[in-house]
Amino acid sequence: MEDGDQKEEEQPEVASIFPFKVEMQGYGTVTPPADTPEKESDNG
Amino acid sequence: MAELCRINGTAAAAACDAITALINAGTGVMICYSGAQPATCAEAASGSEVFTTTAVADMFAAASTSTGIAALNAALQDPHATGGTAGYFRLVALTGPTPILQGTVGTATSNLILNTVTIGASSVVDITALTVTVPLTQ
Repeated sequence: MEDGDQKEEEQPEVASIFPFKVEMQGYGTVTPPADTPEKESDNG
Repeated sequence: MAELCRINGTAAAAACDAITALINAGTGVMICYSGAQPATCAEAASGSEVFTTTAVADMFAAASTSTGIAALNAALQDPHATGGTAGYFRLVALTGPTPILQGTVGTATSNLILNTVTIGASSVVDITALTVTVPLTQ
């Protein structure tokens, strides 16, 4: 019985042996909206 | 204190696929917000939404069994950004309640590197590449 108790106590430590690591890397571009037409005709 | 270990490529790919499957299971989107990222994915989003990519099914391809890296099946795009200063992003499956992954946005040394983090309203944002990696050296 004592052996069983000891194994239960060890479980959290066993789980902590594997510090799971995940990496993420991405790239993107931002393109401003097309310029609104200049109001050149306002002068014409 | 736990020590780092190494895993083989098949195991790394399986672990990576398990993560991306949570996004692939439903239509997935990338939502970018302003400000610093919350401490965990479980926390509510902070800041303001800057852009949200169009929802796609099967966002990620299967991970490579030699590298443990999963890449996008296709580029993501928001054709009409809300606009703002990008700070962090989350990958969300629209069928799930919480984001699956989150990371920083910047013009260098960030999880997502953009040509600018100052995004004007109605800008087009293209995410041309995004990888999720479970490294073989853990």
